[in-house]
Amino acid sequence: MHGLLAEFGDKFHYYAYFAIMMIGLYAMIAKTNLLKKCIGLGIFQTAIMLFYVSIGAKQGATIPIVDPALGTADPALYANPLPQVLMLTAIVVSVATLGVALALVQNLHRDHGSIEEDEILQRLRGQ
Amino acid sequence: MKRLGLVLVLLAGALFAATTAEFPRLGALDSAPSRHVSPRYIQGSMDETHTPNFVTSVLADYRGFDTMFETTVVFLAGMSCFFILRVLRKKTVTEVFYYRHKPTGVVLAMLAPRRVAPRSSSFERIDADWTPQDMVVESMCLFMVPFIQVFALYVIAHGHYSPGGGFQGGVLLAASFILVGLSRDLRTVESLLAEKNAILAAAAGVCIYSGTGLVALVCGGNFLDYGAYAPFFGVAAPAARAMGILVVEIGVALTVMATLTTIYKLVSSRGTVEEGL
Amino acid sequence: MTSQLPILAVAPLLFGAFAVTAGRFFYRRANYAVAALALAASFSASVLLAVSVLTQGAQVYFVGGWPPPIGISYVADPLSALMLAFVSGAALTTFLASKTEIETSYPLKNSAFYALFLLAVAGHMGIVITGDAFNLYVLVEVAALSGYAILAQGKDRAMLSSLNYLFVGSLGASLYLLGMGYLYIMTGSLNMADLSAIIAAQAPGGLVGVTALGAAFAVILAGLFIKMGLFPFHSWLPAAYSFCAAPAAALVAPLTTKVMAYVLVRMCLSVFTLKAAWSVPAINSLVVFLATAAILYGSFCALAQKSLRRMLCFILLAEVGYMAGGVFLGNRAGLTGTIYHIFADLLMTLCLFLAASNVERATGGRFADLGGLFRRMPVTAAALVMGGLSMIGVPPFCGFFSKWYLLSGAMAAGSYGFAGALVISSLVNAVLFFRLFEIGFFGRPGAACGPDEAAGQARPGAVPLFCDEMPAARLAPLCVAAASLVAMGLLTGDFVRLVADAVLPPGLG
Repeated sequence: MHGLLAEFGDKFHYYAYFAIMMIGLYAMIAKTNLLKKCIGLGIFQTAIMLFYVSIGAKQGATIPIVDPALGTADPALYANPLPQVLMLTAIVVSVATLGVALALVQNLHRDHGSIEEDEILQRLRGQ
Repeated sequence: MKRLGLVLVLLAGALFAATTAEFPRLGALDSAPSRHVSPRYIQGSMDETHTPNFVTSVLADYRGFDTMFETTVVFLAGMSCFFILRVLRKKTVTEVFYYRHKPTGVVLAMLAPRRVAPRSSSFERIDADWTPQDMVVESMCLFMVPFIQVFALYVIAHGHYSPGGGFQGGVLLAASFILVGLSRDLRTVESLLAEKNAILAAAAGVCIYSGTGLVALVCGGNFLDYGAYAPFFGVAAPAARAMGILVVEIGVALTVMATLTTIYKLVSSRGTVEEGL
Repeated sequence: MTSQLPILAVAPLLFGAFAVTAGRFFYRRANYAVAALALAASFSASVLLAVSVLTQGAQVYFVGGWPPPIGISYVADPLSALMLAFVSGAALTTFLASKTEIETSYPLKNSAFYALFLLAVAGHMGIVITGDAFNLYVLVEVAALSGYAILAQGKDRAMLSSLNYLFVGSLGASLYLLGMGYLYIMTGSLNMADLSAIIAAQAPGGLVGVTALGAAFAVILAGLFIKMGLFPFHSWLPAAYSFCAAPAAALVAPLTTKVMAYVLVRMCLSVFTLKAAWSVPAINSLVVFLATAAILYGSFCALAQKSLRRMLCFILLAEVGYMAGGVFLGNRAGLTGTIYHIFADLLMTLCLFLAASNVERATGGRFADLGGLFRRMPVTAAALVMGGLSMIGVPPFCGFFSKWYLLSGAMAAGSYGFAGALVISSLVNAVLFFRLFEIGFFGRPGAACGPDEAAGQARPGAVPLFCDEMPAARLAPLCVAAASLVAMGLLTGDFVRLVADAVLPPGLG
């Protein structure tokens, strides 16, 4: 029991990220409103970004900008810059995908008058 | 469907949680990412690129190729929104033009195609869903715009020394245009940053980035090797790298600003870029 | 100059895209020529690179001058260099064949389409040649985003299908990113060669029992299968490729699934070494099972289709099953078959989709309207025949040899289900294509084709030859694509020796 609690204490943030990821995945699968699906995609991608950035955290470290008082000799004093760089890229990609998704949803609304997927499918089948 | 989705999601979540057994603790100093490759960035950044901000030097120099494609993704998003949304017709799309007489508040509706705009300056063109604008809101927003833009330029220029860089500064610049669009109307934004200029600026921004890489090729180094510029400017390689980082950040900011403004214009006006939010 | 070729294969496409964007406002009529020039430059550079690599050995290119794992590297080994040449060649062929089609399908937005086309090809080429796992993710997104936009215009269901593809595709790419995150957290590196060394050190006996690396492998596989369209993650593919305009389908269909299959092979070969990739029996049997299901599902659904393009999309699902299953058969023949099939299927899909776009332009694509096709469009029909025979697996077309390798791999591995599915799929393909040939040869033309004055006193029912055929400029690329099927088949031995044997570890059974 004590071991399990210690394990949970060490890994709780991973569980939190996976919980957020699953919330986003549920929104993408189960919701029929197209905008809610977009939001679900955003939540899913955000959880992955959180996972990456947390990789770079170091206990007692400061932000990855040179502090003249600390110097650059000891890498343990600065947070890992690489995951932050990777996630800058991932955030931009996520925003770009969201932009294209919104453009498609706009067009669907203009053509069919609805952003509910089942209503649009009904309209398309009826044509 | 919803129940099946819930079961699937819970199962997947449990499976993912079970895979974390070997992961390092939060903040562990001896984890593999902290020991491998990243100490080189931390220790070498100041000497090799004269950039105190490790994130900027990794983003724009060590892994600058990723950032070039990231900027291409931004440009691609703008072009895709244009391709999907833009309603291009030979004549204008809007059917009715509304003009409001400012002193009296009378609104005239004029039918296209015989578009006869009132010449007098006491008439202003308004959108179909116009509501009276609060003068305080409008003036405060427009007052803040220059400050936002100066701050944005500061963020771009100081990417080397503090958190910042091309992406953040570009977003701030785009936000200033969107603020104009929200407080005034879309036609004001179109007169400030026309659609054609925005698309050209987006293409120019990515061209600056890849052009920097290509010229480095011509100068004898590899693609995006800023050190190849050093002999041509008479400086040491680290200073040339710092200048190279600044140039590509400017390119990135240009593309991000132009693309986000274009996406705002297209999405808020349903592709017509005539009447928006 | 030889050492700069890896980047010169991708760079012209980027600059071409920007030139086309700017040219839209200044001199619009040159845009087609500029885009074609960019594709030709990229194709020439990749052919030169392929020749150089095949004669002199693999090359590694340090982008930015930083050696890996500090910086990003481009790795040109025989497999990636030849794939690069095939991808750019396929894109060039499609572009040259689709000029009038693009102008009809996208009025007023030609230049935007050219820019998206060029960036899509640049993304696919970058995926093939990169040696950095995170760079792969960014390039997958470049290719995917342009794909979503290109596939969104067409018939009325195209927009919804493209949005669905966007959701599923982004999910797949995000799963790949998550798997990459697992690899990063356990190894600290992003470079493929470096990762392979560290994984071999951390998991010398294979992936069984090593939870995080095994989970990384499984999650990356899930992401790749979603992007490849493997059963049961295939639902986006038929809808996305069948409702869009013809030039979009002809561009995307030969490229996306094959490049993702290439990434699968690359992950198994170069990141997780084959020993680790094949060490979990559960994954091997599961993937072969899914591949078998994909082949059977694709083949039988294709039987129920009533239009040419939808039939081809379901056949594409079956081909994806071939490639995914071949990797996890666990022996040399299977993997050789997959590698060969990636290239062969690229050519077959290119030929069939270009022919289908010609047929759709003339008749509309539904089987009921295809009567008398062989008299109306002889050259296009000949290309359709060649593509069909290759899909069925008739020598000397390339489809025969890939089935040969996959079958021998399946028999050696004892996967009789997969072998049976391969045979059944050939039979079903035979039924599909011979039904098509029967309608085309013996059927009567549904609608009148072409003006009858030129035919003079033709007998009722006689159809003038070539009456619906496309102009020669549009047929030439199609003929090249069809001829390449035979050429690939005849050069199988050389291909296997130069590419597959060069890339696979020597002691493999």
